[in-house]
Amino acid sequence: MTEQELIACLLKGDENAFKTIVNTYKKMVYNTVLGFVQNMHDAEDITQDVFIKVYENIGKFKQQSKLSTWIYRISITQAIDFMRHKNRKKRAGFLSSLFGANNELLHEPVEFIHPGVLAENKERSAILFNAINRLPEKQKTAFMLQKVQDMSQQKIAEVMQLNEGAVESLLMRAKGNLKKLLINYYSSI
Amino acid sequence: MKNQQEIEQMAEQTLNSLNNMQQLEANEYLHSKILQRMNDNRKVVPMAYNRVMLRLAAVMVVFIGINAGSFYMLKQSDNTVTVKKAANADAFANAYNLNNNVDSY
Repeated sequence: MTEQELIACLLKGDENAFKTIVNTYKKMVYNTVLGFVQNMHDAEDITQDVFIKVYENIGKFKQQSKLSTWIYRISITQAIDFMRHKNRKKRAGFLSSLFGANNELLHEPVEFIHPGVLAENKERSAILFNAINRLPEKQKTAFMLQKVQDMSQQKIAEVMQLNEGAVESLLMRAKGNLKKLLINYYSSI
Repeated sequence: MKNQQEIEQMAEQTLNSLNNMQQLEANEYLHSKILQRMNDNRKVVPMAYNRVMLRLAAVMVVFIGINAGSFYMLKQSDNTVTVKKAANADAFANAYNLNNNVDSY
């Protein structure tokens, strides 16, 4: 079944077409989201949200890009929205803790060790993920797509709706900022 | 104490620590879980819709009550004014003998 046929079937509400889409793209969506949220349970919940969005909004998909590109965009938006919401909650928790509320759990620093990272790199990757979280959103998105999804600059540009030059610049700045953060980190220990 | 070269080397190694990372497999039962969640959402939405409609209905009842009350009160005060006006007109007519039919043709 071609992509167009799959979309046409989904527009008619075909359950099998939806199942095919979920099974084709679930690994891609799950890994993209996991890179952003750095929590396997949250990543699975968001992956479900992404496919519900795909099902509900397939009528709005104009087919000017590939279905996978559109699904990538939804995944990134959902993951970033989740992180914004989580950070807002953290800030609110911090403010309420100033007034005596008990919010210790919200403030626990989270160290994420990605199960897919090579054994000898696990400790370093946790430090890198912490540094990635300090990057501005666009730099983080471009860097994660390149590292986690192994995407080319051209594909990143397509997903982020930017030109290739802008993506190259984002990646350069992301790497520069990460290097500064890591040098500061290693100088301080 | 590490020297600058060692620090830069460690930073570089850390920066490359995600290279050759394995992609994880998503949940085998993801599709069933999504369908379950969509069904749950369908049940939750009408309940939320009912709650909104109930609140709107309550607001409408209060709004209609206030309007009806205002209308009733205004009507009562209108009646009082009409009675007062009539009494004043009578008093005026009495004072100037306007109620006599003597001069009327």
